[in-house]
Parts: sequence; C-alpha cells; structure tokens
Amino acid sequence: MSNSRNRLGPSPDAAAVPLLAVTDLAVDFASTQGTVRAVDGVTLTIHSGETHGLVGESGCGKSTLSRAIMGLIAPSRGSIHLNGVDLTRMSRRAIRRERHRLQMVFQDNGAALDPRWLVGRSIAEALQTHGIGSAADRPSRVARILGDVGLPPEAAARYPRAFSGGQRQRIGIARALAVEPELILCDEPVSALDVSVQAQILNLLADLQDRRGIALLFISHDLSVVEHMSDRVSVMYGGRIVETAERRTFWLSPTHPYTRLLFASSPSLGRQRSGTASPPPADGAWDLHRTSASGDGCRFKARCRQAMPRCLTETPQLRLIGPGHHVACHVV
Amino acid sequence: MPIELEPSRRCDAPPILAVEGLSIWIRDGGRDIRTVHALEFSLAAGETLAIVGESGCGKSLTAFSLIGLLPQGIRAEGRVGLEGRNVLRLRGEALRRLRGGRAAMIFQESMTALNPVLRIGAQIVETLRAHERVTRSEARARALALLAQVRIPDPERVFAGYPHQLSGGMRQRVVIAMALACSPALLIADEPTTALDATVQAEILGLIDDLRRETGLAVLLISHDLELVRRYADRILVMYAGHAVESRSVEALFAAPLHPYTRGLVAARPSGGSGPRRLAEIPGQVPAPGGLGPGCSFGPRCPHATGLCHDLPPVPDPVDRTGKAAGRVACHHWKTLHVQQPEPARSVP
Repeated sequence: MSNSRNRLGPSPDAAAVPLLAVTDLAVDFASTQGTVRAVDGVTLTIHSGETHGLVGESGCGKSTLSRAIMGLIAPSRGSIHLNGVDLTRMSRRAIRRERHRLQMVFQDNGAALDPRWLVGRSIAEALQTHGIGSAADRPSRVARILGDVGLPPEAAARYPRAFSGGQRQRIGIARALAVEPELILCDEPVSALDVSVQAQILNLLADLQDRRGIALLFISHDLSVVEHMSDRVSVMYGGRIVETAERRTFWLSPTHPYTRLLFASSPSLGRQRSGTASPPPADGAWDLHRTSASGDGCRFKARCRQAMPRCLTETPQLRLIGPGHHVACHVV
Repeated sequence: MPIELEPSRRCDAPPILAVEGLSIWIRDGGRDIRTVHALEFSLAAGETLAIVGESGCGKSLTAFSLIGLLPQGIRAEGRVGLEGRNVLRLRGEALRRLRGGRAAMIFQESMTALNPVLRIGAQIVETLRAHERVTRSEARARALALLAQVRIPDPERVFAGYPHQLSGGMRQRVVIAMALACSPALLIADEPTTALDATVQAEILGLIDDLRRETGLAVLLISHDLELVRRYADRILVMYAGHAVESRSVEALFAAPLHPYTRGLVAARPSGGSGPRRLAEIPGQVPAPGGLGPGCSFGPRCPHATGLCHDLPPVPDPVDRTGKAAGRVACHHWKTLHVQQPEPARSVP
C-alpha cells in the first residue's frame, strides 16, 4: 500500500509536550496610520513529525508569524515554546544554541544563498556555526546531505547561479537539513517554481519527513498544496487563525465562510465553470488596510455574506465544533 | 427545435484571430535562437483559448507578437491574421491604432500598466480619446460606464482616485476597463491574475468570462497553470520549449490528456482529498532556449522517449476528429500511450 495515505505520523499525544507551542502570539508593526497588528492572538501547536499547514492570502500574517517563531521579529505578546522552553524569554546566546532545532526554507532560495560562495561552503558554514561534526569530516557530510536532497556531490563545488530554481530550492532544503533540525518552517517553498518542478520539491519534503521524522510548518497561499502536504491545516485571515482541523476533516467539512471561499476559489479544488454571471467583488475598492487591526468584530465581516450584527462588534474566538476542529465564527 | 448549446454558436463565423506558422527568433550575440516554432491556432468571437506552459516556453512572446509588441532584437515570421489583416506586416500608425483598438492586452502587474500620478478617470478618458473622436463629457460618461461594467462598486469615487488607493484586484479591474474602452474584438490576458490572491483571482477570471459572454469578445488567456484556466477556457494549447505539444478542447484534454508533458502537468498537481501522497514528477527541468537537439523538445524529460523521439521532431497529429472540437497532439507515441491511460504516479528513489 505504497499509495495509501499514512499522513498522521506519530499520533499527537495530548499529554506529551508538543514540539512547538505558540500561545496567544501578537506582533505589531508601526505604520503611518498607527499600529498595525499583523498577528493577533495566534495559538498553534505542532507535534514532532507532524506537518502543520498554514494557508492564507497576502497580508494575512502567515509570514510574520513564521518570522516571529524564528525569532527574527519580536512579538508584542504571547509565548513560543520549543520543547517546553519559552524562546521569547531566552537570551540571544541561548536562542542561538537552540536555533539548530528550528530551520527555515524560503520562497526564493536564490536570495537566501550567498551568490559568491560555493554551495558546499554555504552548507558547511551552517555545520560550523552549530558545531556539528569536525572540520575534517565536513566535506563528506556536505556530500551526504546533497545526496539526501537529490543533488550530486559535485554540486558542492559550484555557485548558486549555476542551478535552476528547483535545484536552488533543494540546496536551501539541504542547508536547513544540515543542522539536523526538529522543525523546518517552509514559507511558500514552491510558489516560485514551475508546476513540473513543484512536484519534485513537495515529494522531497514528504520523503525527508517520512525518513527523518522532521516536523514541518508548511506555509502557502495555495490551498491545494497545503491540503496535500499537511496532517493538520490552519487557515489565517487578518492576523488570526479562523479555522483549524485535521486534514481529512478540513477536506470533508470546511466550515468558516472564508475557508469555504478559498475552496470555491481554488482552481483544482473548487467548482467547475458555472456558466452564470459571477457575483460582484467581495473585496471592497478601498481595502488597502483590510487586514490590519481595524476596530472590533470579525476581520472577515466586510467580505462575508453571512455576517450578522454581532459580527460587527464582537470578535469571534476559536471554538471546538468537532473532534480537533476549531472555528472562529459566530454564524457556525 | 434542438436547443442551441453554447459551443456551437461560436464556430460558424470566420475566426477573429488566425495564426499560421508563427515562429519567433531572439538575437543573442551573433546568432538567432528560435524560441517559438511554427505555431498554428485560431480564435473565434466569444471564444476563450488558453495558452499554457511553464516559464520560458514562449507563451508570452507569442502573445506580444500578436499585437506587434515584440522588443528590439526579437523577430517573428509567419502570419498573424487579425480580422483578415496580417499584424506582422503592420507598422507605425496602423499598429498603434490596432493596439487598444481592435486588440487589447492586459498584463500580470496592473500597477505598471497604470500611471501612478494620473487619476484613474483621466487614464481611461485618455485611452478613449486616443482612438475615437469624443468630447470630454462623452468620454467621462463612457469611462464611468466601463468602470460599472467591470463591477467596480462606486465608479465615481474610483474615477477620481489614484491607482495606489486601490487593491490589486480593483486595479486589475481598472486595467480591464481600459482594455475594453474601444470595444476590441480580441483581449489578450497575459497571466492576468498571477499576482493576485486566490479569492480575487477567481473573481477577475470570472469577470473576464462574463465580459466574453456579454460582448462576444475573443479571449486569449496566457497562463502557467493548467488547472486555473480549466474553468474559463474553451480550448487549451499546451506549449513546451516553444512548441505546441497539444491543442484540444478543455473537455477532451482533461478527459484524457494525450501528450506525456500534458499528462505530467495534470498529475503533478495535488488533486485534494484522497489523491496519492506522492505526486507524479516530471524529472529534470525546462531546457534553455536553443539548448535542444534535433528531436522532440520534451524527449530529454519524457519517460516514454525512444530513439525516434531523440532523432526526429514529431509532427502534430489530428485527434478528436468529431465535429468542431478537433485537436492536435505532437508526439510520436500518443496512440500507444493513449491505450495505457492513466499515467501511474512514478516513484523516484
């Protein structure tokens, strides 16, 4: 049964300490219009070996959330526990010691690699920084890691520009893998790639996870890709998580009006050509700051066709509506 | 009396666009590299043709050549017949009148298509007055009507506003309104929604589809995403490395894709729900222009390639011969592959 879906990995034991526990996290940015709350009270747990998918559109806060988890942006509220230790209360030095557990793969790894460094040096640097292996065995380690991501050992002696986008993404993954992380944050890892190459990278991530039991936080705007990769999916809108469910539940019964809109809009998951006139736009004309912290109520209220008076004044909180299925909506 | 089905109405009129033997060369150093090879396609009023392919396949160059927008150093040969005239022979004023007149084009990034320091209304009025003799007040009334036609709420306010005040989706609507200003026969949309969010993307493509239905516009949709155009196209032409590899009706193509590349593209996308954990991969990567051997352009990546494929380029074979849905596929082995449907998800060690 090589094709069967064995996605749930190690069962998320409620009693075990989760690998990553983000609790009530908020991130603020100053703007000319005042403070913009990009992430607003996000709570998220990832167990070891699990893939947690995070889907949302531009400006929803998904990348800000991942950068806050990486410690690249300071949160204004909340905590981030890795293996039970709160990263937000750690010293820089202590965080650096923990950093190898947590790695990141970006959308454009061409920009994440130093163009003047040979690929081997970029990977060896990560090993050196985290004190992994001796200087003598680094070249063989680099070659092995390159092999793990499907690149020949000779790749180490070339510059990033010699590689295609898909190959550079493999190098980015190799660099993240080198330090033996427990969790990799993948921020739009295939969005810049051609369709025929996307499948190669998605399969590579799935294989690595099966072999090494690495947990992934998989962030994308592409619902079908997130749905494919994840054991558990969270949907973000306006800085908040509006729905979270196990993959199967998510697929069978998407519940939040925004999640349902995403499904309807997805080319591969949504409806076929309808033949009837499309409805007027749901996003208003003047919505540049539609996802910023704009007063009370549900963030989705302006685009929601089921909005009630209560939605305008009261911010909905995540509620349990089924096994492992949370939705933040007054209507459901 | 038989009920008229939608597809039949658009086939009797002569095509708006008839492309024959279109080849495009890029000048690189001392030599010309052929990037588009002998394309053939036509497009009737009220019809949507999607050209689908990955980066570098030549789809955007093809689109540019249709309205004479190829940059310096790139030349096209063959015939691009637009309402009976060969666009490739038009120059100067005739070409200027064609663009934005009978044929309009919209692009991926709406911000670069709009002037950031001019009010939106002024830009639409300018387009109208460049092509037609209309008074300012007539032009203003028509601009407002156009904004309403592309379902912009509060057209008066948008008319008086600047591009930066609008969301990406709203800006793309404004660009579509400008493209429609002179009632073109052909709208070329080059990745019109790639920069937009998924929900907005569906709205914009739905809008273009509505306008096609309302006005009988012929739409040429250029995209890298086969699944995306599925809902909005009547026919799809799949390009790979400058060649048309498969060109068929949407229904026929998705019922049984014939070319190994098309089959790979369909299988490479997650299908949701109970699809396999492993996606089918197309090994390797898109070749650089000019980096191809004498045989089939997809041969080096094709799991079914034989010696024949490496030596001899395939010629397009007619398929789906019934009625007007006739299509073509350029593969030496499509008949034998057709029997072996569906493509299994290959495992790569």
